Amino acid sequence: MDLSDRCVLYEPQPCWAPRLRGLTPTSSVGFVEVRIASEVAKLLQEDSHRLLMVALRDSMTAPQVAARIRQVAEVRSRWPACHVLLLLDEQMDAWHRACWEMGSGLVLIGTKSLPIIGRTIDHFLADLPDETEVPETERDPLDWLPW
Amino acid sequence: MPSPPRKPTTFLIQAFDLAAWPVVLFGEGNAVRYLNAAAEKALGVSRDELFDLAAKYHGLGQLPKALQLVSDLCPASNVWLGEVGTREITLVADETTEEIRWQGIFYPITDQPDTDAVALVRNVMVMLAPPERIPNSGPLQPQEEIHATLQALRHEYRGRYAVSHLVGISTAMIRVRRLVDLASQSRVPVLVIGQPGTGREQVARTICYASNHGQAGPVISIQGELMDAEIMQTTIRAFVRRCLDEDETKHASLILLNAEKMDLGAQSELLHLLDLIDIDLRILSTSSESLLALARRGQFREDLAFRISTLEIELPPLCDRPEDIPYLAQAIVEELNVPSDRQLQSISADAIDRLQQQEWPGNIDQLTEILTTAHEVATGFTLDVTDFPVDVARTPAKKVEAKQAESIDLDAALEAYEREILIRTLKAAKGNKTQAANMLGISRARLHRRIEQWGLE
Repeated sequence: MDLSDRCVLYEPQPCWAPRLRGLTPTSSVGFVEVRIASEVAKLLQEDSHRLLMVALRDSMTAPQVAARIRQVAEVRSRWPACHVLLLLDEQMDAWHRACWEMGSGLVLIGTKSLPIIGRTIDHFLADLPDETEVPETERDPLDWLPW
Repeated sequence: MPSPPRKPTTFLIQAFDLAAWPVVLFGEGNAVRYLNAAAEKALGVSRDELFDLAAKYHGLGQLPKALQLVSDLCPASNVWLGEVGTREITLVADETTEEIRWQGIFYPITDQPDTDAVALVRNVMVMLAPPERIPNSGPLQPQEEIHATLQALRHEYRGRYAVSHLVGISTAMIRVRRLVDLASQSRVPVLVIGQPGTGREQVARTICYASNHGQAGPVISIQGELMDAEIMQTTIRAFVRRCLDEDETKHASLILLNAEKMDLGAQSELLHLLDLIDIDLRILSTSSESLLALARRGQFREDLAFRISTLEIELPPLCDRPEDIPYLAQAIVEELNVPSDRQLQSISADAIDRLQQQEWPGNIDQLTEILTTAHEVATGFTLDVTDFPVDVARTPAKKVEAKQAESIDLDAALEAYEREILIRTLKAAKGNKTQAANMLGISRARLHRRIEQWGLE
């Protein structure tokens, strides 16, 4: 899988996308923007080893935020290999604890957290298994032969 | 001589006492100051039990009944700012009775109610009415909506992470449940060890949610592999600052997932923060192997490993407890039924047999994945072998382990190796024996002998 498909940003309206585009790791490897929940599920069904960034906006209603938190928890339990980052607006104080506790992912608040997001993406990409690396068991015992 | 005029509050309290609908009065610090006889009857508690209890709607863990009731009745922040609020309140008076729905009316009692100036809300009166009597309460204010939603979400999570959800009748799982129970009654650091997919996070969260109120405190969960020293410091500090701002409690819990994957910088930072921060941060970590064993091999900080491995709970892989598979499968199917239109009742005996014959390298997560797929395609009320994905439905994957050889035949091994080299060289030479013999640096006659001996023609 292409590295750009590994990072997924889920937000119905573009808000974090322009900020993330300028961020060091994503400016070179890129990321997938998703607008609807079913597309998140589809991507994770293909390969769950992804970094899912979920935006929670203060313009969302409480049931919408709760539904998003619930959805993130379901993603974590159904696809444990998927890492989740919750990206919150600054003015969402009432939700901080719920996100830390129930969101099952790293909670990052406001634009000041952009450097941390960048570092987290770096760690995630560094932790990915090398696709060219062949497991010991599958390695050909005769691969030293010149033909 | 005329009697001294009675205080208005006395009249109010007398009126409340006679009221048929339940009334609860909250005072400073969200603490209960008064409840009438109807409220005592409706809530199933005496006045003394609730008096002075402070409401905290964001409390984690199993709340005592009285505290749970007070938290359910807690006024939202906008009421304390002077707004009248209404919202639906669901109460469970005791475990044996069903949930009762009330329409809650939150009325702020201010010190200067008739002026436009900012008035200080001294008390909030909560009146409970049957929903059919006050049916049109209008849309909720944003704060009330957040408040009610969070309340519902927390109730839901408490249900999801109960000890009873750790399914299994095997000795290992009975032991796990006992240890989880034990861990939930204390604040010792716990390390949950198990292969990926064995439900390590579920166990760690269950310990939090099964804890008595106040023992778990606020909770934060972080992934070890995404951490470095700076992210660890920023995250934990922001969390602790928030805990200290919001709560008087000095307890909090950290769920550290995949602790073995933390880099050394993050490990040092965590150790440093544990000594530095002003709250008692209990760590519940998960790992694929013992951190002490990793420390012995120099792959983890020994001091941190000792600090967070006080109680180790080992989760057995699924293949070691096939007796649990029928129970797990049934629990998963019932869980899948909840949001679905399909309501499967059971799993056929053949299907259970087939599931028990599998290897399950992905453990419970893999079982869940297979049952999720099967649940989607099932046609009847019972899940059958034919509903499983082809590779599970066709043959049992469990391999019978071969007996470990006590010796090897060197000649046979070398012969097999030589044969492989010969085949590969003949393929590379496209069957040209002279060229193959040249490539291997042997005579054509020797190559011929080998080809005849092993029938490679």
